[in-house]
Amino acid sequence: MKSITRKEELVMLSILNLQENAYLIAIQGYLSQVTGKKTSLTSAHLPLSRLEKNGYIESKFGEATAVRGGRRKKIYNMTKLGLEALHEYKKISDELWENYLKLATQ
Amino acid sequence: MKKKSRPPKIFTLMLQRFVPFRDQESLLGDFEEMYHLIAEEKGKTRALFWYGLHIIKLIPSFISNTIIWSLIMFKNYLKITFRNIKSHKGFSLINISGLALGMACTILILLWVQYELSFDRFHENADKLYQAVYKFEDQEVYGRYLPGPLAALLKDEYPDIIDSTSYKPWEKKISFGVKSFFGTGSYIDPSFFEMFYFPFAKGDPNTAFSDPFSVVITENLANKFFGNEDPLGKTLTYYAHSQGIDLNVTGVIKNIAQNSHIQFDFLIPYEIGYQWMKTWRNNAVHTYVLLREESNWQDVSKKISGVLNKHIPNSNVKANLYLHPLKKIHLFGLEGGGLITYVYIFSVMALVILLIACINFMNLSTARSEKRFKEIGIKKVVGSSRMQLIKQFLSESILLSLLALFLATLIVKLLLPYINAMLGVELKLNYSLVFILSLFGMALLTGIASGSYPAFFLSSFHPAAILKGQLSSMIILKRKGGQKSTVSQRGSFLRKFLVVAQFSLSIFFIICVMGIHKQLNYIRNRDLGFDKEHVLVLQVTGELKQKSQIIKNELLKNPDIQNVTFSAYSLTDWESSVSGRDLDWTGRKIDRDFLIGNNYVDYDYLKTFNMKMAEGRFFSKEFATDASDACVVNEAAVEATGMKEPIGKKIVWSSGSQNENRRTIVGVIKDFNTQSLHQEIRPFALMPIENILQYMSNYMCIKLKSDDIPRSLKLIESKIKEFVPDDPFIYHFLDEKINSIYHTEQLTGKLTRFITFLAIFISCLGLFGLASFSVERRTKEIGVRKVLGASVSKIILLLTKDFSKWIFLANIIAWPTAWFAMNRWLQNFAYRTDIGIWIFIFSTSLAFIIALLIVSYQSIRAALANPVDSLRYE
Repeated sequence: MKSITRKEELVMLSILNLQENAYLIAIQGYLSQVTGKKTSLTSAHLPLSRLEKNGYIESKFGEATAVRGGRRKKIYNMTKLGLEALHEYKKISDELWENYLKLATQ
Repeated sequence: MKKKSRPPKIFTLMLQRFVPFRDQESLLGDFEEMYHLIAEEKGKTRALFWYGLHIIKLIPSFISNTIIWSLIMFKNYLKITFRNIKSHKGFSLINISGLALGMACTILILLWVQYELSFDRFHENADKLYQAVYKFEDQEVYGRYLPGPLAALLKDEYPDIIDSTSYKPWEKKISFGVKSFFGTGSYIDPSFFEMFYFPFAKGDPNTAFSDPFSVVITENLANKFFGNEDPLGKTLTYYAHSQGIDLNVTGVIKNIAQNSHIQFDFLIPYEIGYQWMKTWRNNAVHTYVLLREESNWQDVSKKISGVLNKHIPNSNVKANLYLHPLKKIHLFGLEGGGLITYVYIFSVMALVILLIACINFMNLSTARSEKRFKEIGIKKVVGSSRMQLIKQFLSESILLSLLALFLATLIVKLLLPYINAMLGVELKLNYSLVFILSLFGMALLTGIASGSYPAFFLSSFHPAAILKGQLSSMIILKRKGGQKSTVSQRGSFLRKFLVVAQFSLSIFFIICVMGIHKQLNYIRNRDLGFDKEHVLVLQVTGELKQKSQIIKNELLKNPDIQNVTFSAYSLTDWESSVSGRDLDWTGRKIDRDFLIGNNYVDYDYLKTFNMKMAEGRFFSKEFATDASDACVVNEAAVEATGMKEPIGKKIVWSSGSQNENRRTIVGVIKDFNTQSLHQEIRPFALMPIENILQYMSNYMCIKLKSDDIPRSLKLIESKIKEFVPDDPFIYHFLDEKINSIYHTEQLTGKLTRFITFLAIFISCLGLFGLASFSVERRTKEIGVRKVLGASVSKIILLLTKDFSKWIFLANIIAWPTAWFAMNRWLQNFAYRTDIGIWIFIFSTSLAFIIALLIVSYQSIRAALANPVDSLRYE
């Protein structure tokens, strides 16, 4: 399984949290809000397209709004593969945390 | 809700261009949404700035994406191209080789054009160097020979002229000990070395001519005389005058490039030239001047125009001096025309050949691309855009033309030595950047021109129509007028049009070649008024001159030699002439100026050349007074002077001057044509050379009797060696010399023949390909016809009928254009042949026969084939 980056992890978690509204602007806004740092549109798009290419996420067209000039949104969704990768990532970092905490309390 | 202002349309369009295609819609939407968010939060300007910034940000990735994709697609096109070449080997061979031949021909012609245009450009001052020339005021008579003192005068009196030099080329003998050599020696002023760029290999140009008895030689001559020894300081003997003079070698000039109109073997100071070169009376030397950087040559021409009339004594000569740019001397004749005409003609021909080759290429690819409908259809269905199809076809044809270019350069490389030998030039393939780029440019253009039809036409159809059409081979298209036509009809119309164009050009060429050939033949066989066959011409040098009578008698003893005659000037060159204004004769009335050529000849001149008298007699030994008193003029001279009864009239040469020469006309000789047949016969006078003028016997002409030329030559050589054992035996035959006058015409003849052959060959290749294609397409039809009982001859007729119709049309187009072109060319000649209808008929039949042979070969093969083979799978 290909490893994922921190950025990709954050993007995927955003998708999960945003549920049916996970499109680029929403993800970017959510990321900025959570991290407290300004995330640009392009830096949000880059991990998205990589994840989609690797099959971790999939996309479908959503509604078209006037504010978008009548263009449809591209709504992202996690795939099974993506979820597995996310769990794997969490498992590894949890393990590392646990080990560290054990050492710290001793 | 108030409608929000949207981002500017032009920005959006640009974004759309740069955004990856797959995510185009959603991303553009995202951008617009973001724009509105920013606009609400921070104002419209910031939003606009953000929007614009993202366009710029997207450019790099867009570019790299484009490159990557086009590379991937290009790999695909390459693959398809090579598969196509492989699967249609015959077609591809015809296609590529035809194009390669056409390109090779074009490259060769362009090399030649480049060579001709490069003449005299290597001088650093080339832009500021001019030759002084003159034109008669009231006549179209031009001249390059001017009085010797002119050069110095121009430099002294006109501040625009910085420097000037006289230049007098002169074919003379020069020797070192026992080695001797006939070469072009030129009298020059020392300023020559500064004006022209002829770098010294040895010696110093500044001091080379400080002593007048000096000579500067070329490396070639130095090698001949001295081998590896140092030539500086050696003494050469120069035989211009009756006695040789010793000259000190003071410099060696690097060999002169071929693309220089100034060619010499050695240079001698003008100071030691003949006295007569230095008078205003004689037009003896060329004059070159160097202008100041800021001077305008046309203005200078106006300023100097009256110089000749002012300074020539007895100033009734009305000749205007003017300047002729150095860079134009080789290409532009003073009378207009010149080699430049041929440069133009051949440049056009090069383009035409390329065009024919392109047509071929286009023809064959369109013919074949109809077979590729299925490929196009499938591609379209799978989702390739029209642009991609156009790109594919264009890159395919460009690839093929690059391949052809590669072959063409190979062909040129192989052919170049032969071409150089044939044309007597020194063409080289130079690999300069400009040259290579222009070759690639040519290949690119050819590729685009020949690939554009299939690219744009075939990619325009609806995929369903193509795929269905492939089955029925009929695609119905709606034309504007509601008229219906099929793709194959439209394609074949274009193909036929192209075949007609090709054959029109080929027939045009055939007619031109035959016309040129006929005129050249006419020139060769025209009665020139004298006998030019078997006449040997030799230059007479020092000692031989004094013994001319003795050697003449010696030679005449031999039965092989019919006649021997001496003359002052060569028969073929217009070496000496006098203005009609300097002439006086009994009953002179008219004031029109003309030039009258003259020559001093001995009593046997008439007999040797078998010239005929129109009136009176030729001078002879029997009349004692002839030597000092008689002269003979030609019919043209009688006409020019307007004499009624010329015999017995007195004629005074150089009237008014001290050396007045008064003579009686004893006879009128029939016009004889020693000059190029471009010009009318000019007035001419002959005077006896006997007695006092013995020293002027510069040329000896020997008329041979036998056909065993080598034996006679050996004999003459041995006789002459008895008198002058050290001199090389150098001679030429009169007829060869006369033919060489038409060098340019013969060159044109050769080149056009070569080009025509190529044009026909390429056209035939195209026709062959087309014929085999159309036969192949109709295999089934032929099979059905045969099964139903059609005879072989009927099928052949069916298949050839179509082509002959179009070739007939090509004839109709070619005839008038060729007639017009030939007439224009023939206008150059004062004496010309008719073109004649036979040339047209012959070229038409030739074109027909060739075309029919090609087409019927294919047809017969198809007609004889067993119908079972073609119908088996139906």
